[in-house]
Amino acid sequence: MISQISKKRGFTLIEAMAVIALIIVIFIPAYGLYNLGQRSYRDVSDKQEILQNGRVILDRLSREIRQAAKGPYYWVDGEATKFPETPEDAVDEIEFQDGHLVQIQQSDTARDGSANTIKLAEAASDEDDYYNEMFIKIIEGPGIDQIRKIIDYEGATRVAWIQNKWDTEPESGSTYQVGSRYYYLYYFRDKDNPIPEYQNDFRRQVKVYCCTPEEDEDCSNSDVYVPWNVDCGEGELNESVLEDELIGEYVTGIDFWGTTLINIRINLAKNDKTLQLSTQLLGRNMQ
Amino acid sequence: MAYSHPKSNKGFTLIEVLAAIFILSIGILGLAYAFPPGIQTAKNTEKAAQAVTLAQAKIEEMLSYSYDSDELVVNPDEPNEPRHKLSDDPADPLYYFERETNITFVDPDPAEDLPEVSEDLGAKKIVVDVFWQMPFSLGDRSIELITLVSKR
Repeated sequence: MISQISKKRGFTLIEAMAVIALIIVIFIPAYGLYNLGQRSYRDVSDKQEILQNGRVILDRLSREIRQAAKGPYYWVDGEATKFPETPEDAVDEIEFQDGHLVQIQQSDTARDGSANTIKLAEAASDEDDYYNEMFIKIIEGPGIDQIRKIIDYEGATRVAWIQNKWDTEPESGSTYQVGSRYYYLYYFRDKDNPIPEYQNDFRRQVKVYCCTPEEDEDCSNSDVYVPWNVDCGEGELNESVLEDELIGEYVTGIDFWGTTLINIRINLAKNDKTLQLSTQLLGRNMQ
Repeated sequence: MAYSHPKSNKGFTLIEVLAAIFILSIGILGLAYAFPPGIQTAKNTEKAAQAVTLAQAKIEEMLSYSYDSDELVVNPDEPNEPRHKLSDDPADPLYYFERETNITFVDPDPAEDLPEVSEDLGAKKIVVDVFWQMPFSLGDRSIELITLVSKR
């Protein structure tokens, strides 16, 4: 009977405490290590993420500012305003004319014209669709001062089809210019977004301006895009956003200043990690 | 009966336990030591990225000047931009960065490997160095960007 009891003997208090002590000795450092691993992973991935966002933003801006044609400016009460020269007056948005297309693609003498076509010179591109979406302006001779959008182009014959018919048909001998679209790039922090988590988004828009008879029209029916500072005379200057995309997150602040040599300072933050990137970009063709 | 298998009841000696704990702690410490270098590397990547943007800023500025302008003058005695802190304010992230810019004449002859020369042969080399201090006094790091400008 006594031997039966001793066989069912459990742990003594000392044994149990020893086990608990050992578990503590092993698990506390092990948990500490695990925790450190987790925290480091989170810290480093947060840091890398804001760094990557900053880099992407700067890369996009550099590429397009270096190519930009006109600008930079920002908006004050609907008025395009030149950039300030000092960091104290820095602004948080930038707009400039897209210079990715050379201003004048081709300028020569037309060889023929009809109600909705114009036959370009032999020197024009022989590639089909090459001048699609661009604008052609007659600068001398019959049909002078008309601007039309090219919707189709046949390389072999050098014939360009235009969107809206000519008022006056160009003829052989009319001088034309095929130019870039007046496309504008607008970079801004979405600080007025009603959803707080989107307020640190940095976005890029492709904008166009047009003269329309009425106020508050968009440019979708317009076949002529104009510079942002054009005088529309009787009509109204309106704008349309053709593309709007997110290019970076976690931007808590961005500062631009300087006119030709543009200073950029970006502040990024995610959780408790912050990063500031500052650089300068030379808009060589900006005026 | 109780003493017939004395060895089966024997526990660990104090020495054994201490040795086990010692080995365990060495293992854990060894793992723990792997973290700071990882964090350091991440920190350094971030600083290097900031440094590149700062060097790029200077290069863009230099490229905005014309070849013969005073800003691009070649002075063999002192750097074009002596090494200096980019901010005097310790709260400014730029406080941790220093920059130096040197300009030298180089031989633009494509047959040569752009050797530095003492007279103007129509090309200048702009070398921008950005230095930063690693935390915990782990020393200076730097990056260097080089560009060439030529006479039109």
